[in-house]
Amino acid sequence: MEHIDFKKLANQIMFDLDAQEQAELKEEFDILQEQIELLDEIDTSDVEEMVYPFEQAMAYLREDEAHHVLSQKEALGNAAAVKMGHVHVPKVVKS
Amino acid sequence: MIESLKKQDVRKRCEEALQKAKEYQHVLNAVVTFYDIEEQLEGLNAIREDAPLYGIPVVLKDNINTKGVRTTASSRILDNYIPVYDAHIVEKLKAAGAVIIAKSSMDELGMGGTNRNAYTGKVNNPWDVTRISGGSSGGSAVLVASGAVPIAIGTDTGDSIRKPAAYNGIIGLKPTYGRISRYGVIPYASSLDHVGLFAAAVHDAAKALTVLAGRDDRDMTSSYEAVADYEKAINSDIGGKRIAVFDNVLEAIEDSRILDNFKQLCETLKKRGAIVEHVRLDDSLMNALVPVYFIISNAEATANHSNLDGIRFGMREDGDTMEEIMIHTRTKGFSSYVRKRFVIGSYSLFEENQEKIFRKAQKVRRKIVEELARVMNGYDVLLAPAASTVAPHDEDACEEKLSKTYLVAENHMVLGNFSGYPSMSVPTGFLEHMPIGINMTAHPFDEQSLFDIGAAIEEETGLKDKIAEVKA
Repeated sequence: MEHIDFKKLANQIMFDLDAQEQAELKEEFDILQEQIELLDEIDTSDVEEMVYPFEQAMAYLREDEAHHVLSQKEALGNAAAVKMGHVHVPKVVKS
Repeated sequence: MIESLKKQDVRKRCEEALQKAKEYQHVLNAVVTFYDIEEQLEGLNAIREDAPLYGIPVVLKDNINTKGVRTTASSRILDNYIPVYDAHIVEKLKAAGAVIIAKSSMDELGMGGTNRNAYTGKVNNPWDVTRISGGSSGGSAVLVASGAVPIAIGTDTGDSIRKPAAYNGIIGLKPTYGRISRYGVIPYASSLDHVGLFAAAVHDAAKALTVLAGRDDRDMTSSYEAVADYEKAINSDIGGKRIAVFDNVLEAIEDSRILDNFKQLCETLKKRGAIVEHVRLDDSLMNALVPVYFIISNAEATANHSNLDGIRFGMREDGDTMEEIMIHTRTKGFSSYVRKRFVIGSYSLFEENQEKIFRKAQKVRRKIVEELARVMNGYDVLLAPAASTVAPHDEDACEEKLSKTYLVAENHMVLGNFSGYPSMSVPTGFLEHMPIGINMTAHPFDEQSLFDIGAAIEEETGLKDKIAEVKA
């Protein structure tokens, strides 16, 4: 398998990996590679992807009516930092 | 067990269940959060006494959202999360009179098969506490197996109900995809996730399914299929039932004692009039079960859990910027095990890898499901031993190997998740004082066949309501 920068991969999905975790991941990618080879043995030409078990439609457009509405207090109740009715985070646009 | 419990005073049986779970906690480590049940007991005044689960104590896996009660999915990142709404099944259970006594431990976010990877630590098997419970619904499994409650809710993405059920000597049901609403259930991999349940008796499992099943407009995969009174319809006269024995699994099991137990069961089913024949799936497709599962589940998990960032809910770590907050929160909030799986999932979704890895796995999944449908054509159920061993010791439990035993015997139940077909584990005996069991898979929405054959097995084994004696 080609060289992979695991730390960069992890940072792209917003977390970090230490050196040991990166080494462990390298071993897991070796197994992944073997697993991909098992899949390559199977001919899937003209086979559609299976995204869900059953393909009949079970979701339809609903009436545009509000239901199960949360109050502002409830919606903010789990946020670690709240100011003036909003979730509070550090300034995003720097001056 | 439900019917015998109903002969006791409601308050007494619920308080006893809670007390047992608390007494067992230092031995089993199965609970994340205990309930104060007083409000629920008072709430029963508004429920008819003939409601199916009236005053019956139950346990929920800790990925089921419960309004006002902490729901962590056994992850540090959700350690302070208090849902502001109930999952659909919580509403259903309460309307049926059930009293929730605890939220149970699980592998973090459902990712794992051992229940060693829970923020509150390993869950112990009540038959031998040096062994694992299995996972990811391990806490729910052991609370039924120890007799604390007659019903516990689990979820099943690979075999996370059916494997721990087998390891703990109880019934584990994963119904058809869409049979039970997943609204309010913290997801793992949406195309594979199912809600299901544990019970100590087939009749109890059937009763609970009738309560839990049915269309819910808030879950777009929820089915309109009519819900039966499964318990009332149970018929253990299985004369003429057609049972397909899953030869690939038998060939991959090394322990002759497990095979002997299984063969004996097949003879018993024949004597009861069932037609038992052998089938096999294509070997290359069987070898692909684990890779397909590994790729699809990790990819879906990494996408599903991108909202766990500590901003709107969950544990937040400090940082000078939004990015720093998210990175610190997610690094500390997820275990090493989960972060590594997210990287693998993310990698397979990259544009340059998607066709070769993710979409390839989805295509192979279709071929596997078509093959399953082919071999099950003309049969009511597919039958196999649920696992190749009894519950392993902590140090023996390992995952992601490429051996035939691992690829086939230990992971065949994922077929039920790929296909959405209903599937149930039933205990069939003991090996060195540890329970072993079988697994049956039926056609979509034919849970009744599972209950009918399961009831016949229960009559033969005498293991109905068999629970472990826990020395607290």
